[in-house]
Amino acid sequence: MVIASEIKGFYVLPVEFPESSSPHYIYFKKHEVKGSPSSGTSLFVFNLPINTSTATLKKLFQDVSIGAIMSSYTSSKLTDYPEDTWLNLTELTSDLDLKNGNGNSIADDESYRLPKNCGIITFIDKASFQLAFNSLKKLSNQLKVTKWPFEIIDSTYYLKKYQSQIYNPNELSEAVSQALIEFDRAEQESK
Amino acid sequence: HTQRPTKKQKKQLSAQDIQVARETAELFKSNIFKLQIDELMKELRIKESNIHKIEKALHRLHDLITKIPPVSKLTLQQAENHFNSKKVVIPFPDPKPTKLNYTFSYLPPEDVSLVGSFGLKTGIAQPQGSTIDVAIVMPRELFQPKDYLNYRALYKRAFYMAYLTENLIPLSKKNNLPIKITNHFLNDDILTPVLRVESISTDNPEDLTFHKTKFSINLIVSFPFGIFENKKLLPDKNCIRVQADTEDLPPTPLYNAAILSLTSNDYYLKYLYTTKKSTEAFKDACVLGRLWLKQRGFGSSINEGGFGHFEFAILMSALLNGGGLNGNKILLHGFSSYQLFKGLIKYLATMDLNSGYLSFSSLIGESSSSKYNSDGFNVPTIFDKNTKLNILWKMTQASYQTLQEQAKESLNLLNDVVKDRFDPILLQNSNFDHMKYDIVLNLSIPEELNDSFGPLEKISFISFDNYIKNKIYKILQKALGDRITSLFIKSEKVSNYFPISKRKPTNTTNSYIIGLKLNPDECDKLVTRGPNNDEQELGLKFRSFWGSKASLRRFKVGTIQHCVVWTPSDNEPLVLSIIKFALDLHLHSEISHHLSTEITSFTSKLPLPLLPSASNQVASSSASFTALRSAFDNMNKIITNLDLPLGVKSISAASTGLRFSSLLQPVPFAVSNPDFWNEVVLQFETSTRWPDELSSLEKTKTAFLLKINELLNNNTTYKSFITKDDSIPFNEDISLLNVLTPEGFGFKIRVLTERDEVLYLRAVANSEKQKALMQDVYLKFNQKYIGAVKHTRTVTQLAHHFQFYSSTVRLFKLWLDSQLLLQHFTDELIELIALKSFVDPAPYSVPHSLENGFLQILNFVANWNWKEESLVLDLVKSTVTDDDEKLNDKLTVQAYRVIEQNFETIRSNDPSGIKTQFFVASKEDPSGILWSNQLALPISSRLTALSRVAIQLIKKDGLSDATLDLIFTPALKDYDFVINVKSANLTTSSGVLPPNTFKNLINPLTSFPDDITTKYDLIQAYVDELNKKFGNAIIFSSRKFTGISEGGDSNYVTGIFVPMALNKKKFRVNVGINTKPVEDSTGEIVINKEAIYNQMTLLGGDLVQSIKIRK
Repeated sequence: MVIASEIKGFYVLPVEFPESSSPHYIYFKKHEVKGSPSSGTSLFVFNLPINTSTATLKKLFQDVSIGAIMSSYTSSKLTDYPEDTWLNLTELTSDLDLKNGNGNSIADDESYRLPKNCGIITFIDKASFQLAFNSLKKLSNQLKVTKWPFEIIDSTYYLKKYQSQIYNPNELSEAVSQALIEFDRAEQESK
Repeated sequence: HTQRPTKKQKKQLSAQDIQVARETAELFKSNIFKLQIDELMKELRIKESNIHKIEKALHRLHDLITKIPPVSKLTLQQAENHFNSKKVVIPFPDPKPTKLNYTFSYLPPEDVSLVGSFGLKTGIAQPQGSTIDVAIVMPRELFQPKDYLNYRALYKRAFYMAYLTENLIPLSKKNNLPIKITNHFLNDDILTPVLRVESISTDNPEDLTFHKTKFSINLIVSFPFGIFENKKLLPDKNCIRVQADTEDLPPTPLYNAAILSLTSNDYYLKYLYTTKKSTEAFKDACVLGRLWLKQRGFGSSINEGGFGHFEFAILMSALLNGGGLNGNKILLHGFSSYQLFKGLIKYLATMDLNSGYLSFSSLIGESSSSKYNSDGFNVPTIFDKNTKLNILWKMTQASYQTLQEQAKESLNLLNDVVKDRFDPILLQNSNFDHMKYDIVLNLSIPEELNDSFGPLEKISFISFDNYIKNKIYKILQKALGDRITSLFIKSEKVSNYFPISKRKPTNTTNSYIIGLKLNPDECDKLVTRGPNNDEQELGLKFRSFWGSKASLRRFKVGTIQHCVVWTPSDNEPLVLSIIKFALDLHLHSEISHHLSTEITSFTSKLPLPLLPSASNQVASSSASFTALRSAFDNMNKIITNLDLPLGVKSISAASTGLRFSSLLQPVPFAVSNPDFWNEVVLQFETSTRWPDELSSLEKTKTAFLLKINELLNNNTTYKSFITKDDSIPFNEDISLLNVLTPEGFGFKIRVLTERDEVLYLRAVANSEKQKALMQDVYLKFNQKYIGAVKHTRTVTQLAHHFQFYSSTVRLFKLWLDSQLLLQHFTDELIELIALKSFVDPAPYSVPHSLENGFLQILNFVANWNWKEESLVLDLVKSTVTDDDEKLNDKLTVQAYRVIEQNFETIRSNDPSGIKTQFFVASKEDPSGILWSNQLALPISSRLTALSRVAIQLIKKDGLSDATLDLIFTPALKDYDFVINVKSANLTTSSGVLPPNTFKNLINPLTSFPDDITTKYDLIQAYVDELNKKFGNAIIFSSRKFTGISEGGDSNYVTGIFVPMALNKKKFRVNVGINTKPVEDSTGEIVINKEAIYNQMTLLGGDLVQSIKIRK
């Protein structure tokens, strides 16, 4: 009875939750995209536990490899979505090149293209990345079960979910007018 | 979508064209029917080997009978002493003779012959076995001309029977025909005991046994044909002389008919045989009739209505010789079995054989024509001039009325040129009382009532059973009048068999079942109107019937009328109060205590609304829905009048509350009710300026909603806010305007523009590989923005028309929710399924009570073979075929064909229903999948399975509070795991009166909470999260209405793993479910259930109390 520590080029990292009796398995590998500036500084992680956020990951690296500093975490939009693939309705209904709030093209947003439960963790530099990657690899090779820094949920979590559905009219108004200005711009450009 | 013909086209259709079209359709249908009939006949045929065996047995039995030695001239005393009373007792009818001036004899029978359907070869194979009737005709010399009087012939017959029995027993033993003989009353007539012969299985190979054929033989000791002067036995003659105060003794129609029947058993077989010879399809038509009657619970027995195969066959014979008003022929000898059957059903449906009658002659060889006479006897009558017998003598007005109603409904089905109606006409059993009737009552008659059954009643009615049923019928008919359309009473008889060592059955029951069909227009009227004040005689009668309840009232039009004013009660239908009152007054002063019904148990399942006007709140009332509707209308006016950049064209209702079908009644300020928010669809006036891209289009809509939001909050008493909406997958920019009205209701406004559909369809066209997924998105959009509006309009109309639809669909939803199924279905789908029993209730009829409606829906779902059958609904008010096709908006044959083709296409791609299970179409949705698209196979199958279990339980154990509670208890052990969750008490904030509380101690809600979200059900949010995170591997079920669950603060979230998710898989990053590496394997992964359980529990936080995993 042996659990492989490596599978199809991915390392297997067993983690455990509060009050759990058997581990959860995370798969990770070096994330390399040719020509991308983040190449060599990112981890591709798959089968992340529920509610994994930047904060969770930061906590994790503090625990397992002090000194590895994250710069960003991109999670799949699909992780908390009932569907398995993402359809971009903007692309499907128009040729306009609309940009999101960060000035990136909506069509290029990576979080929509990552499969469910996947994420990309980027570190501030190669050194940080290597530190983190090595620590995780070590844990994986030892098949050591790592404590997962799960943020405990209580019922206010759900209450907040409800409350977050309600828009602040001023912010909404602002966002709407920004979006419409952007639409006018894109429309003008396409003419 | 079928195109409506233009005016010009309409004109061109001549009456002749329509006639031709109709005939073609009719012919086509008749051919289909014929194929179906042929198929059916094959199934119903009795096995040849069985016939062979039983014929052998009959021959041997005949031989034995000829061996019985004669006996002569025994006095009553001698006759009784002849038998060892421990073995055989003479089955004398009541009153048992004491002193007689004539003697008893047994001589060999004049004739022994096969009668009944076996003789006619119209018998059918029946799972419970069939009976063969054999007439044993007593010889003439045993009778004197006056023997028809005072039971004399019947006493002689009783002795003859006992003697026959006594001798048959040893003879059969000696001659290797092991049999068991019992007595029973032929067709429930206590004057006609007959012998039932059953085969006993033995080990002796010499023995001739036929028990495996499941046949039994009725030996009917009969009188010779024409032995008595038949006209003395006419229905209006008295043939039982008793001492009485009156000069004229009442007629004894039942007695007379029993005697006449016994003289004509073999004669009628000959008569029917003659018809069979002359009419090729007669035999098949008789089989159809037999089946039709059987499915509806009709039979020749008194308790089955007194109209069975024999009566059907005689009527058909009579109609082949006339039957019209002028003796014109109703049926022709060359007719097909379908035509004969239909013709006869039509006759039953359209001719009144109670107020009028049919006369015919069974005289063979004489072609006397049958004739309908409109002046009758107010007794169901088909009169044979030859034998003087009223063929319908075992029928009552009540049973005739029921038969006629069944015939009317079947005639409608036979006339349906759109759908094939073979199944409900012939194949579906519709004999379950609680679905047949709106109200079913059980009445046990106290023994004291036997005293009212005096000598005169006895000779008129023969049995107490007949007498009391007649009496109850008269009282109820008078008391209820127009409030009911049908009333049937039958005894809850166990069996009328009794051993040959008994004179009559000992364990008779005194329980009766009363079934009522209500007239929805009249049944709840609070005033029973009587005659005008100046009609003295009628007034007197009215007062004497109603007693202290009767009063005089002046009505608006100025008339002064006698009347009775009723007060409605909380939980029982008015009709029931009237029945109780009338029976107490006229039958027995405390009889209402002996009356029981489950009707109120159904009503009390529905949660009571928490409303101030406590006294007139009924669970099935619709007042609260009307209040919501008017709040909606008020809001419409306000918003339409706002000063907006673009005018509002319409705001359309699209919610369960606005169409009378929300599980809970809409109660003001009840924000925990999951249906508190009523969705409505707003359309602005036409504009060309909507952006041509979906996300920006939604943003523009939001801009308008922001404007309305601002105006409402600043200038009106309405409060509003904007929320994110995720009901359309991948469209993340939809927002809804939430409006709280001063009346206490909530609306969610969604905006529809003329661009939306164009854009979604464009996306479908552009979607390439993801077409199927994008089509689902389009369907969702169609549901929310277009379908829901149409559906709401239609259901609102139908809910107005079908008075009990609203409460029935709500109870159905409650049942689904109690079984954790409700949240899997769209409300619309459930409402459409529930509508089936109202717009197309065949083989039953439109339900007019909650109980009837609910059970019919359950029964339909239990029997719906959705893999092979589509559900096509004609969403119109009338089930009656309207002759003027231009006036009705029913589905046309063409539209129906289109829908059927859609179904065929879907099934040819998906034969076992993995993607589409329920196909539910109507004119509004010919696709048939708008509302059922996203169902999962296990859920659909579970609905079928659970409803089957429920129906079986009810049929097996009967209806009671206990069975009903069981039906509403969730079956949790079928799930892979059950999470026990703790929910806040949301009963009152859902607008529900908590059970077991006093109405006056609970204050109704009067205002909105400061933060509305604090009153929402967190369990729903938890389930929502579970679905988002694990929904691709697990099907979660939970109650939608936690606020009304019986368990108080305890609720369940259950799950089953999708079988596909459990397989081992090759490692790939888009597997989508939580996995672990397979032990001792490389490159394979498998679902990590433990980690999932663990994370589900963590996700619930303090909401989760425990999780139970199925081993």
